[in-house]
Formats: sequence, structure tokens, C-alpha cells
Amino acid sequence: MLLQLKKMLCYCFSGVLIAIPSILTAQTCTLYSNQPPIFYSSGNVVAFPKYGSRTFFTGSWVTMNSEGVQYVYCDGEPDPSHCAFGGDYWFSGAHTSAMDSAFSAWTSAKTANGSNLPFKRVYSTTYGYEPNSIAVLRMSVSAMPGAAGIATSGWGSVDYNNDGVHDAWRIVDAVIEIRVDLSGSTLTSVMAHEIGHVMGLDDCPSCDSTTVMTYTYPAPTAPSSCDNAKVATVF
Amino acid sequence: MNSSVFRSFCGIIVLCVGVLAQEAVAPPFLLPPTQDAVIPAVRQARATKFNLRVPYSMIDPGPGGAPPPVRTVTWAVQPELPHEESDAIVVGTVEKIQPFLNSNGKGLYSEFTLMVTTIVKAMHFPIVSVGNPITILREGGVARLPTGRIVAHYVHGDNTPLNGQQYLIFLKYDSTVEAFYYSKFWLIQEGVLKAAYPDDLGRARQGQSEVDAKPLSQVLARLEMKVAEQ
Repeated sequence: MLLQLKKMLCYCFSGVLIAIPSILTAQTCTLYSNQPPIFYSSGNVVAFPKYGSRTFFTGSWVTMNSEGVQYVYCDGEPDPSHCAFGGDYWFSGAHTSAMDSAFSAWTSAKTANGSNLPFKRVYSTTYGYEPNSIAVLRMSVSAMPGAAGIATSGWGSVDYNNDGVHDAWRIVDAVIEIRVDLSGSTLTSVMAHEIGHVMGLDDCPSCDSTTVMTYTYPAPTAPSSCDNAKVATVF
Repeated sequence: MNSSVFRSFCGIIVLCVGVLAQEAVAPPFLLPPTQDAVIPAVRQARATKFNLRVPYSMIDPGPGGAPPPVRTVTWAVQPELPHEESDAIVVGTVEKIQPFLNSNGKGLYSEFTLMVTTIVKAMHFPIVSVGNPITILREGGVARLPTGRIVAHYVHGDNTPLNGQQYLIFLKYDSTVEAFYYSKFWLIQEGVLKAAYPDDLGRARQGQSEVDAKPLSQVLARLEMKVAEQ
């Protein structure tokens, strides 16, 4: 009995010894051990609400995500007349194609991450800041040299179960500013990272390139299984 | 009174005074225009530069008491020592951080006063000289309104210099606002550089930094050589 106990302790100790170096050097986004953290702000999860939730907007409840999160390319100031066609002006076809790839990748992950949220590009010159939407703007903030993208997310009161009672603050619209001199896979990976923020993921400087939330380049252009598993915890 | 009890009592008093003193360090008030040394046209240019293109205010609760919007910045890959891209590179100590309201009232920006102690690069900028302060601007900040209410505008993912700390800092000049922006900085503690900027923190954590934990003198010598080669 005593011998068995000693053996058991020995195995445990060996296990700890083996685990310590891997914990200390853990850079790989491994499921359930080193995924990007959940993004909280003011005590709330920074993520769009799940499919079918309602949000209170200008005096009435709006059902979220019935057609997915809509995104539009704009050229600058939050003026509806600058969206859609303005975006075509400021972002070339190559730009929009690279950014569309990131939205498509997140749409493809909607089942794996449990959000059931597709992203759909819209062309609307009457676009405003509405629930369930993302405006993509050309970044002009030269005051922050080195920035590749900035996401700004607005909160909405969300009712999960349609009982007319506030359940949580969740992100219901977002503005993503993107540096116009980025291109190709870098642009796609930056956009995939920004979308990761509005899906509830925080930055992960200590992660390697197995998550879109890494600071390591080249960064992935699509959410990984680690990203999806983490997003699933907030939907 | 037993001497050890007396010592404990004194210790608690000292601790309490320390805590109270810390609490007394409240954010600065917004600077009244009458006390602003910057000419109004430049002040207006600075306040406009940091206007936010978002529907809601970053510093006020939204409709129905919603928290202020969340602003998150993602960084492009930068060299650890971006000397080529920088207009000026200096070592200095932050002497003052003064917050200001943006011109559209949706957020704050901060003016950092940095006392320059060493110049590595600034050949085209005579305003940069040893022993004199320079002004550096950055989005975000914390301020007290005249009513006493404290407002904050945070940029998630960004790090800003702290008052009283010494930095090696890489700067870009903007003539429209007559001030610098920083592209990154390294904290200097006891003559040694410490990663302080998000991408450098990532490199340092992964053991991939060639600058973190190196003596300032060694890095300055390396930088001066590279700047001379430019």
C-alpha cells in the first residue's frame, strides 16, 4: 500500500516536472490551455449577441442577427452618404477582396464557434449606425504610428429570451478602421483579428500564430480551432 | 506600551498615510483655456486631430446607461528599434501628463511633457535639445471635469508612458499640431531597457527580443551607429 502511494507520488511529481517547462514556454494556442482570453470591458463581454437575441434601439426591440452581421465599406466620417460607394473609392478591389476573405472565414466558422453569426457585405448609401452592423473605415489616425487597425464597439441592451427584460450589455455595432497601405494576407489577418475582438476575443501577445489574436507575424487569416472553442464559451 | 506593539501601530499609521496619499493623487483637471500656453489655432488643430469617427462618446455613458464604447488598437509589425522611420529618437523623463477634450467632445487626448536628457536622432528638429522639454500627443487619457467627475478614455491594447518614468522613445513629428507622436518606447530602469510596448512585450515573453533587459548604453551605441549609417 505504502509502496503504491510512493509510486503514485513519484508519478505525480514526474508529471509536474514534465509539465513545468511546457507551462513556462507555452506559446502554442492549445485547446483549453493557451487560447486567447475572453475580452471583457466594464465587466461585460465584448461580443455581438447570439443569434435571435433582441436589442433595444431607438425606442423598440430589434431582433439581432436574423440576416447575420452586416458590414459596409465607408471612406471616412460617420456619414451614410460616404458608405458603400465611398468604400469602393477608398478601398481598391484588392483591398475589399482581402478584407472580405476575413469576414468569409469567420462566417465559415459560425457553426464551430457556436455563434451562428454569418457576416454579410451590404451596399447601402443610406447606411447608418444600426444594431447588427460593422462599418469599415479607412484609417486616417496618423497620430498613432504603427497602428494597423482600430475597432470601436458600441454597447446595446440585449434581451436573450424575448421577455422584454435587459439581460446583458453586448456589442451591437462596431466601427473598424483599417490602414489603407496594408494589402494581401497581412490585411486579411489584421481584419480577422479585428473581427475576433467583436466576437469576444482579447489580444494574446504570448500566443503564437495558431490564433488570429496573436501579435506574432505572419498571423493567421482565419479563426483557428482554438479561437472557435474560446468564442463558443460566450455564445 | 510594548515596543513591538508600538512598532506595529506606527507601521499601520505609515501604511494608512501611504494609502490616503495614493488616493489623493487624482487625475488632472482639464486645462482651462486661460492657462493654456499653446496658441488657440494649434490647440484647435490638436483637438481636431483626435476627433473620433464613432457615433457615441468614449467618455460618457451611452443611451440607457450603456458603458462607453470599447476602442481596441491592433499593431502592425514594427522593428524593435524603428530608427529609420523615426524623425527623432531621444531619452527623457515624463514630467507632466495633461489631458484635453477632443474638439467633437467624444473623447480625450493627452499631452506628455518629456524632458530630454539624451538625443540619438533629431538632426532636422532644432526644437529637440538636451535639458528642454518636448510635447508628445496621444489619444486617450483620464481627466477631472470642473464638476469633479472623473472621465476616462482608454484605448485597449495601447500602452502609454507613466509620469516620472524614463524612456527611450521613437518619435514622429506633425507640423500641423507642432508636436510629436510616438511610434514606440522602451522603459529604462536602473540603466536597463525593459519592453513596454505591446509588440515588444510579446517578443520579450517569447524570448525573441534582442533589446529587452539590455543595458541602455549598449543599445544607444548600437542605435547611434545605425543612425550614422542612414
